[in-house]
Amino acid sequence: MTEFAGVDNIPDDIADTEVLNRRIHPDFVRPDGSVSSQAFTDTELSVDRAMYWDVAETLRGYNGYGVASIVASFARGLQQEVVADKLLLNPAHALVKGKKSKSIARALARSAIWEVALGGGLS
Amino acid sequence: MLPRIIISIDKPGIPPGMVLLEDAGSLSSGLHDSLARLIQRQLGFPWRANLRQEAKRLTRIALTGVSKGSGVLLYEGLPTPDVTGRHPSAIAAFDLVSGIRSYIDSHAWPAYLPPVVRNRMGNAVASALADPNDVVKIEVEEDGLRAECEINPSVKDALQVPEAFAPDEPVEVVGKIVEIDKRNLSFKIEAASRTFTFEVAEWQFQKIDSELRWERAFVSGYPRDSKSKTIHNISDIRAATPDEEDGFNLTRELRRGERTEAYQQARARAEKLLNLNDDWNTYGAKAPGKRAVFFALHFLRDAIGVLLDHGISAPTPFLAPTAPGGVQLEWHVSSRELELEIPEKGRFSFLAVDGSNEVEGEASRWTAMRLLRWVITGEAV
Repeated sequence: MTEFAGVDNIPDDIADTEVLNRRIHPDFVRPDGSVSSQAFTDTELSVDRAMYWDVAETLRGYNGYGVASIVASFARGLQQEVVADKLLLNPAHALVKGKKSKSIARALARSAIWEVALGGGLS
Repeated sequence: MLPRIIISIDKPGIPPGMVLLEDAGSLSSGLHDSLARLIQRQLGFPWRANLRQEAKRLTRIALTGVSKGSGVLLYEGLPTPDVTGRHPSAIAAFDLVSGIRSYIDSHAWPAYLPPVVRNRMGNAVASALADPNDVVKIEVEEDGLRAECEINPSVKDALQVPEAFAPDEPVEVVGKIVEIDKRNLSFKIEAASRTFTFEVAEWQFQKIDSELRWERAFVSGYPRDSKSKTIHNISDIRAATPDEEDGFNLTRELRRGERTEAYQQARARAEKLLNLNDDWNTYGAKAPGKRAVFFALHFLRDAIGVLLDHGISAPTPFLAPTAPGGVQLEWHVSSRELELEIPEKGRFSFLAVDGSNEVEGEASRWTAMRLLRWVITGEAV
């Protein structure tokens, strides 16, 4: 679990070490608990910056979902752009931008770590 | 290296280096038709139907010469557009040879060599096997692999045995209604160059007469005779859908993949995915489209059927919905992984992973079938 810094004064620059949380729909989860690459195919992949946005907020209102995290540097290593995309109600929102080949989507899925397993229990 | 098929004809009275035009013509057209039929079946279409364009396109094979030493016809596979793996004609030719060898060893025909192929090959060699001592030898070579078989008059006779249909084995026909006989409560359908007669109950006849007259129809029932010229005990009559091709088939054979656990589990999962609504993933995904999902299920059913013909059982794939409204089939077998995405009906894209090696791209139905076989068995695509 990432140390939580709160939503005040969130920097626009996203550090390589930042953890990025993505809500995972149960239908993306294989029987062995791994996540399908299809959870990471969006050209503008919506994520929450874990340092500034509690994972409980990412899950709020989405019972039965899980949250998986990837690291900014890993995405950048796959020629993805990781940029802040502050929203009115979610200033810690960010995007992993770039065309995602099947290989890239699979790499992102394989690097993902469960922050909250399906069903909502915080790990 | 392109594959080679060699047919040797040991025919008394014909000088070395020559083949009677009659024999060459019959063997060449019969070989082509047999290979195309086998390719059609490997594409997952077991219907007794006309040859599909896709199967013809994949049967790229040329007669390249007649050997000077004896009565030998040489054929070579030509490069086939959008096929990057093994040559479809070579795969079919190996099946043909191994199927004939299997019959010679066991006196039983393997499922992957159906009557529609056997009959054509039997007719193709008939003129070259006029004498009891005549033999036709077929050899196939591709990338160091080699197989051969010999067809003598006895094997030829076995190849020519026509398909017989059991009276308790349901059949399905799709085709155009061409004749209606009110007095005898029957009608006729033309499908795949054959005409079938159907004997029906009065209420069924009224349905034909009022709703389906001269239309394309789907009818299932039971053969009255071993050639299935007449079909009775009709269990289903309806308008054929545009997706259903004209043809004739055994219900058991067409739907053999449906009885497997892999298909049953995939279908249950697909039905669940079809309940998803737009924005189901909370990030704006489209609901899975029925056409894509049903196409994926039909492909899976047909692919499992092809594999069953070869004694291979398919593991259950994981079905993942895709954000644009399609579906992805995923398999992981030892070090091999296959993601086969169906973004819409008729289209495939794939990612194949073996250890640290990854390949991805668009796939034809043929390549999709071969990839599935690869992920399960490790055989070359």
